[in-house]
Amino acid sequence: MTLHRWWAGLLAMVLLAASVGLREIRERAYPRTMTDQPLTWITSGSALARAALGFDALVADLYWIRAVQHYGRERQRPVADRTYSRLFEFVDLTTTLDPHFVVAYQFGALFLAEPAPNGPGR
Amino acid sequence: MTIVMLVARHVVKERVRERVLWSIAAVAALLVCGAVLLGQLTAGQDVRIIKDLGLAAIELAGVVMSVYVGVQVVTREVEQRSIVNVLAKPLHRWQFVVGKFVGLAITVAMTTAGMSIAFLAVLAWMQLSGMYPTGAGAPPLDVHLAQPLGLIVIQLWVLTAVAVLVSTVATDSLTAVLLTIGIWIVGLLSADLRTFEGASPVLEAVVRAVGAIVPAFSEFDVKAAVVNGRPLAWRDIGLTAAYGVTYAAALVGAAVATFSQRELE
Repeated sequence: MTLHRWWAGLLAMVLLAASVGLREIRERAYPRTMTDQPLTWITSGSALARAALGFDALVADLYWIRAVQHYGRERQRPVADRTYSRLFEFVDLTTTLDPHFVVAYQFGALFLAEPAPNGPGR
Repeated sequence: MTIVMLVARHVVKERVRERVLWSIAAVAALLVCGAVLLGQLTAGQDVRIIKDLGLAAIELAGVVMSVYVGVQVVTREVEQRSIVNVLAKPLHRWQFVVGKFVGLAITVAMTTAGMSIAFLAVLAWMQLSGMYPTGAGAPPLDVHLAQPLGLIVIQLWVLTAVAVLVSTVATDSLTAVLLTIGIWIVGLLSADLRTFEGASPVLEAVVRAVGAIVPAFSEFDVKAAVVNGRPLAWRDIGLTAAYGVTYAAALVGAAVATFSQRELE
């Protein structure tokens, strides 16, 4: 039984290393892009507030994280490809769900008004 | 190997009789059918919504099933004390673990296939009845849907292997469920973990190492690309599937190693 344990552990480590290697090979051969964004199914703040079932602040936090990630991801793209198309949507939903989320207002005021390529120029 | 397949067959026969699994699959199938009604609200995007909702329902139902059946492999038998009788038979512990996993993998594949058939039937009905606008991206019935559906099965095998490994170390079912779901969530974020940049180089290295080791469930998510009419190369899918199968085998090996030394009273 002890022999089985050691062989199984060794096999597990070898297979884990092989799987990590396979993933690296795939990533180098076929890097995945983030251009295909999923839909934002609920764009109405009031509808989202109802769907949040009392967890408005938590959902606001999640949309704040999405806003920040979206902005950062757009900044990493080539200048000509930056659109910040969803930044207003995410910031608007964040402040609708949590009207006291001050930094979201500050961030929105600063970055939504920035002209391209640093912002959507709204 | 024959004993392993005997254990696997017993697991399949046992699980197929469980109403919980078929209830979950039925709910997912109903959700897919109900998506046709939801599609009427989407201003011409009904095919896309139905595909998005259908694939998400199949994946989520599969996750629930994998966690539910996987954590019971060892923990339920230990809690009910039946495992002592099982291991008293001429059966090595590794045969028990591997056989259980193979049986669960077959069960998960069967239920996912059932849900997929309902999903494809809805899309076939849409295509044959001409309900979708022409020239609107990928048609309802698209051969490339095999990509996300196939990778969902592979992903569920990896998750089932996680659940089996966790069940060999956890002392009760609730702990096993929570740990498995936690690993699943971390796995979904593994791509972000691998590119983590922090103030401290040590923290950065630790987080990136965790991201490299945890099962990368995000790798299997090709739903958005296929639904948007941008299928991936089949070699890409093959490499991802190979990663999943190899990783699941590694987890089963680890489960054998941990179960081999577990004290059972």
